[in-house]
Amino acid sequence: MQLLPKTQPRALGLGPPAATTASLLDCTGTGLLAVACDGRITIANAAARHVLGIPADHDRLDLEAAVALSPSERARLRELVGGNLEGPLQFYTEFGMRLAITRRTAPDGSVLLSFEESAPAAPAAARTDALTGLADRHVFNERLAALCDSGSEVALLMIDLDRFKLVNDTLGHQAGDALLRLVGQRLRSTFRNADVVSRFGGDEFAIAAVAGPEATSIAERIVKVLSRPYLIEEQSAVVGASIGIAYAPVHGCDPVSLTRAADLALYQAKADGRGNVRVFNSELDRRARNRGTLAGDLRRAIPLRQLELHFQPQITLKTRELTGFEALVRWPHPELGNIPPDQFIPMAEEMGLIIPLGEWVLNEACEQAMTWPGHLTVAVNVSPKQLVDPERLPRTIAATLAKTGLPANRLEIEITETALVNEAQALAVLSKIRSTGVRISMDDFGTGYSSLSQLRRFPFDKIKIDRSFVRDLGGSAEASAVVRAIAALGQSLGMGTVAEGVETSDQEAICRDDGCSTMQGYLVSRPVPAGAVADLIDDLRIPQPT
Amino acid sequence: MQEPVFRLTYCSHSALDCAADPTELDRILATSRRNNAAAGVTGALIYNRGIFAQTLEGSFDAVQTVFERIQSDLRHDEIVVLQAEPVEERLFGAWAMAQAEPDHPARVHETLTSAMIDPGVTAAPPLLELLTRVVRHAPA
Repeated sequence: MQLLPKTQPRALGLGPPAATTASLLDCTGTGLLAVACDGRITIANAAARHVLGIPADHDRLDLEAAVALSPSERARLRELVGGNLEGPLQFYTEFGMRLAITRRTAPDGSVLLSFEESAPAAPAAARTDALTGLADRHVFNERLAALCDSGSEVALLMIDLDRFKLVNDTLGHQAGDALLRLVGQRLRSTFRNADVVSRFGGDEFAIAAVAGPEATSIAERIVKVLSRPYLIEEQSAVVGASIGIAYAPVHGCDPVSLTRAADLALYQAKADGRGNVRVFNSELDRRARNRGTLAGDLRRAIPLRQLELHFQPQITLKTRELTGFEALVRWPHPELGNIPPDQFIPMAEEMGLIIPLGEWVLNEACEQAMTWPGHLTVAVNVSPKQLVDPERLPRTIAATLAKTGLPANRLEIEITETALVNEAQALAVLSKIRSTGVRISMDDFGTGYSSLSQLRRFPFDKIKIDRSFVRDLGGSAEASAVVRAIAALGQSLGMGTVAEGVETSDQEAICRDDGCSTMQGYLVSRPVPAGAVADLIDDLRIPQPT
Repeated sequence: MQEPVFRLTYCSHSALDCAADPTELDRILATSRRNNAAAGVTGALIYNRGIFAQTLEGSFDAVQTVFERIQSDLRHDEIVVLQAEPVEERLFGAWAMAQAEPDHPARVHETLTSAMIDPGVTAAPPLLELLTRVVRHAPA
């Protein structure tokens, strides 16, 4: 038998070797989970792994690995870790277990979560959702498990309201609650024969029924009934509904896998434009797995400095002089190669990463612009989500300009028309930014809603004509008419017009004739990495005839 | 009677073909009168070429209850609310549910379709004016 060497520092309180710590932690019934600043799980003891479904080799994983939590519960857990929610909080696992999770911050900034299983759930009478009187998630999962075990064909419908947040935000929480009560009533009355109708929390509802393929038509009926107007707080309000369906036993034969499948179908229904019904298929599963890995990678991409900015020049049409660059974010993934922005930006928005990502882009763009000649501007794209907080973006911009020393008039903020859906709020934020001398451009003009009324209500400095109109120039007379009309509109409102996506000299000539002020596109240059900007500025210094 | 009055006016397409079966409309009216009388709700209804327009007046809770019952009736399609607000007094206080016979079918049709197409705040007044004009002759 080997004795411990005398120099073993155990007695000195310096801590036992890591392997011993891990096995000690595994002995406690309390679940312990440590999450580092970059979102990675550093410690997950046996109790935590068991309850959350985390694999033992969790070295490079983040909270996405907690598969025993539904996506919405995982999102709540992330909020708890991020410090946006106050603990201790109640969580439900997909196995119907109720957990009380407490959060502490370790000296190194990582977050330690400890969790205990809460007292056994209350008797059936008390286990209904207090607001709607429907079954709660726990009861629902029990019944679903029983249905699955019975071997009969089960349809699980996951229902999520569309635009519910808007009702809550504009009419208040009381109105939101009143609406949820009516939704519960409508579900119950359209669905008298359902085995279980449940509210999972928030605006998420679930129905389990012994049913066959007619579940789709039932789901369509539910979408129809829930999308009808409601009377709440002495006014009328409208929401929509999206539904994801999974069938047992084909898509899963227990509540966990079935709920996951229905959630993925619901995710697809929402992605397809809301008000839809989608049934699970294995392609959704494959995509979700890819997305899950990619989401974890994206979370680490900012701290690991994997994101890059590329810059695309803008030149005047009259004299072909360089006026500045648009900053475009790129993600060269170490294994998967370049991930297109239209894939990772929505993901960042959904994961709540768009704020830090946007702030990184802004800072990086301003720092780079400081290395350029003093007359060149830099344009930075802003996500609608960055306009939700009325204070944050104006504050960040002011701080970034102060920190980097970039004069306000060299920075342009680009927003798309869709950012203005919550118009009053967005315009207030933009006005605040514009009052400091920063310029505001409307991006992708002509592709969104009510473009013209937006222009009248806000003094944009520039309108960027969507590339789809420019692409058709030369081919269709209509495209030229649209470009000319926008250019004329810009002139009369005192706004510059930028033609985007100019690829040929013909298109350039037409844009010039149609009265646009600036252009951007492959004809001048593709977006180039920061390191290549200086050379490009030199190349463009002497206006080249085309 | 000075209790607070809430008025709801809405239009809907209907899967019912009341022209083919006039008794269908009678049945709807009978049910609605019975339910409304119990809840203290009054109002008027007009049907023309597949479109219903209805006004409900009463306490907010009662109007909400009646409206919710209508909402779970799948024979209605595409329901649009034209007006939902507290008002000074009832317009149809004497009727549990007055049936307004379209007096000038073409004009009625135009009022109803334009309300369905553009259900903004401007759509309610012409419709209420139409209902009050034709209801005067209806039996209480």
